[in-house]
Amino acid sequence: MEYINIFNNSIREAFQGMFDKTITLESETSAPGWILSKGVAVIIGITGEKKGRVLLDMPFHTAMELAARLDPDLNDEDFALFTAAEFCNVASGGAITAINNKFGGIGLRLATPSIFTGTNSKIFSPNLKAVRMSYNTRFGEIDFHIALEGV
Amino acid sequence: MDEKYVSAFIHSITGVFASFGAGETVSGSICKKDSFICRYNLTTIIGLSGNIKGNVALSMPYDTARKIASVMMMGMEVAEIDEMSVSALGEMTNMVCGQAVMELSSRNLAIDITPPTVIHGDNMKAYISQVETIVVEISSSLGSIELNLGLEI
Repeated sequence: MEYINIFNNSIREAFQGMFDKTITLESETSAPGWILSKGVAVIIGITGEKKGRVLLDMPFHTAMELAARLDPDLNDEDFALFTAAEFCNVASGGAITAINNKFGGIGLRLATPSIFTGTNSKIFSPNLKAVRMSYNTRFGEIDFHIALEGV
Repeated sequence: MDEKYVSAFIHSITGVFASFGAGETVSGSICKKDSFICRYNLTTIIGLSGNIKGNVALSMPYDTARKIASVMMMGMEVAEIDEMSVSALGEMTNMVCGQAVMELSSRNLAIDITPPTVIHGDNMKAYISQVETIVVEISSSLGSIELNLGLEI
């Protein structure tokens, strides 16, 4: 599970860097096949020698509070979605760079983030087993579901 | 966005649906959006990396999703969207993106695709790119499907 440790480090660094707060990994479990979204889901696909995807999931109010950390005066729902996407992108980018540096030749690359919000949203990635990393922050619960072939 | 990119994906949907025996597909007009409000409840999405970065999303109503899953599973009745039918829809999206990428590779574009993800729910809103999203409505005997391209070229 070395990849997961690398993702955890990158997620903590990205959170600290963007929001000036620390977060701690509360639990690490096998993700269920169907993921019932908390409200805002950011999906970033991974290509290269191993394929996979990163899914960041959080309640809408958490995305709004994180956005307020960046700009307290801008109470904008789309800005909250973009903030969540940027957090996922920075965390995933840092992890992928670290994995590529550690395991030469693996050549992982990221697609651009896609953001989904809605009600009763269910998410499924066929043929991928994911690890759910749950963080309980002062802004609310944040889950990362990391799926990478061979992990 | 150059028309050749949009055409590659329309051609691939036409080809994949024809391979299902779904008959002819009819493409509607092309429109551009900053984001897309999902008109339909179910969306499959695949990311692209390489010379083109971005995401391709196919959005459809449940009825179309059930029909596509059924033809992909040799006519098996699909009463609900379960893991098996979602796997079939993911594979259909893989085929569409794979064939489009093959067509684009003949133009010296090296593109890799991510595994598919399927998401469904109510009142869905999505951003699949930081640039504009190209939207094309496609009709077939299996129902309507909306092609959404968010490509950074």
